[in-house]
Amino acid sequence: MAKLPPIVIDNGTGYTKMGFAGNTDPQFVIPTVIGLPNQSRYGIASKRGIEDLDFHIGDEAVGNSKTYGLNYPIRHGQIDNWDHMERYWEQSIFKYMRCEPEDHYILLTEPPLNAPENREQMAEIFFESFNVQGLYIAVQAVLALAASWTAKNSQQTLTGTVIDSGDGVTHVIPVAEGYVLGSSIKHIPIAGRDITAFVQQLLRDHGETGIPPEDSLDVARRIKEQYSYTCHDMAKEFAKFDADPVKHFQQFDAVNSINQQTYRVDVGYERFLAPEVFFNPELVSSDFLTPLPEIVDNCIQVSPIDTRRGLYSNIVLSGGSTMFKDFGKRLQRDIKRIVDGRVRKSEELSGGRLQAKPIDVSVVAHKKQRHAVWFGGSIMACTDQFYQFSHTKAEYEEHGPSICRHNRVFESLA
Amino acid sequence: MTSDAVDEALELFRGNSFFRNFEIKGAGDRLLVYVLLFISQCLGKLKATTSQSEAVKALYTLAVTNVVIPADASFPLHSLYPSVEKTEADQLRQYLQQVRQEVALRLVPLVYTANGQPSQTPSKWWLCFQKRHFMGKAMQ
Repeated sequence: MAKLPPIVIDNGTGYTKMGFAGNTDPQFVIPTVIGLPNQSRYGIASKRGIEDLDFHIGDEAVGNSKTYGLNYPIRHGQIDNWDHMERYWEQSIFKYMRCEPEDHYILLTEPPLNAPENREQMAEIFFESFNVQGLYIAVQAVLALAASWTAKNSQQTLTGTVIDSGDGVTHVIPVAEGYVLGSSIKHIPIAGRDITAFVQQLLRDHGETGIPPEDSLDVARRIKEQYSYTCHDMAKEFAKFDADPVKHFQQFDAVNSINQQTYRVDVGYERFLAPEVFFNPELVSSDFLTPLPEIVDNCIQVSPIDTRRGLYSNIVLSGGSTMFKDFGKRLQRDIKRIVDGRVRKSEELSGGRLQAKPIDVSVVAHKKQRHAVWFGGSIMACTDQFYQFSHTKAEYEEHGPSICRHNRVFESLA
Repeated sequence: MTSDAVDEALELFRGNSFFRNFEIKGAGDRLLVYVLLFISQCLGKLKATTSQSEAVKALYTLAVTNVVIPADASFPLHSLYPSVEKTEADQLRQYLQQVRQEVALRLVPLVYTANGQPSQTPSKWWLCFQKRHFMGKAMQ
């Protein structure tokens, strides 16, 4: 029998993406949340002895949040509660993917700088609870790089800087030849959730009283996703709105989730102010003030000197919060400005005797950005090498979970 | 038409009102800060129902009465400004009164627009800046 396709599961802080390898998009994108019965409801189920089956994951958990307490098993990209996570995977595989785990290889993802103990724990769960054929644990940033190979201007290397911005946190991760440069990783405490909250605040400021309070966050999120664009210069963008108000101010039609009545929301400056948060974090934060382009530049500057050109020339975007229109262009321009400024200064200091070779700065945006990590995993799991790199059930039984501490992609180096 | 300091401040007001930190690089910035704070004070006087003629009156009154100069203790950022002699202070007060009148005069037509046309009610796209205060400060 031909091998069944591997399953690719990318568990993020906000959402879990899962599907079979070889597809271009995940079959399921559901919130990484598990709903466990409230204490008061334990009565009936415990009599039948099935209380440990009484839970929901994803949207169903959110929908049943009145009777089920919501738990978020992943915090800041790391698995926080293993028991909840195991049950989450159980339903992911049996209820959503509807497959027999013993017939498939599985590709899981891990955040950069994940502790090897966590990897062992994952192996234990997947080999012992689910009895999978083989397991591979990939670093999210590397998969995001692989996903960018589909872009037109991609160089198809595993060297590059990944900007991964999801719902909870934004990372800037330099990767050289597939190796994550752990000491140079930068975190930014601003991501999708903060931007949505900012849009919500702006909507409230210009008096959109028609929005029912229970829909307010959702409306803000949809306005952020549908109307936002990155501007060239924040101060000048206001003048553009004055010059052509009809084109720039827009309306958003929404439906009240309770009584199904439609209402209209005016959308104004939040259109360009939302993405601007990355370039002027002061808009939402009082303690974190460094703009994203500066963080990226710092991150590359603290990386080994022989990797820097490669890191500048392949800056890859990943995650939903990098999907703003022209986000890549603005980022590229701002980074280029910082880099050129530094080169010029060093040339001046040399008294014009040294001419630097210009540094190529290029930000790669592509169509698969939103689920880049999952998509990269899907590509990776389709290759023949995937089966060589994976740890098999037989190996696990022979050596134990410690085999997952080791990544076979780098075997020749180790 | 050339653009002067007041026009520039009116143009920069909306963008700057989001910022709590501002580095004063020169004397020009000191005037800018003063005008931005005054614009904010003007907007604070308007209500969604204020008509244009009422606004013109209210803002004129605001501009000419109780003119605060940065050296006064009641000015929120007065530590950032140099202190002045008594005679200079009077002169400065006159200058700033003129600036304030000019701001009030030019602000009203900007605020009373809807879709690029003059309107009888203030635009919500200006009133939404009422609660935001440049550098977290406001003139009383």
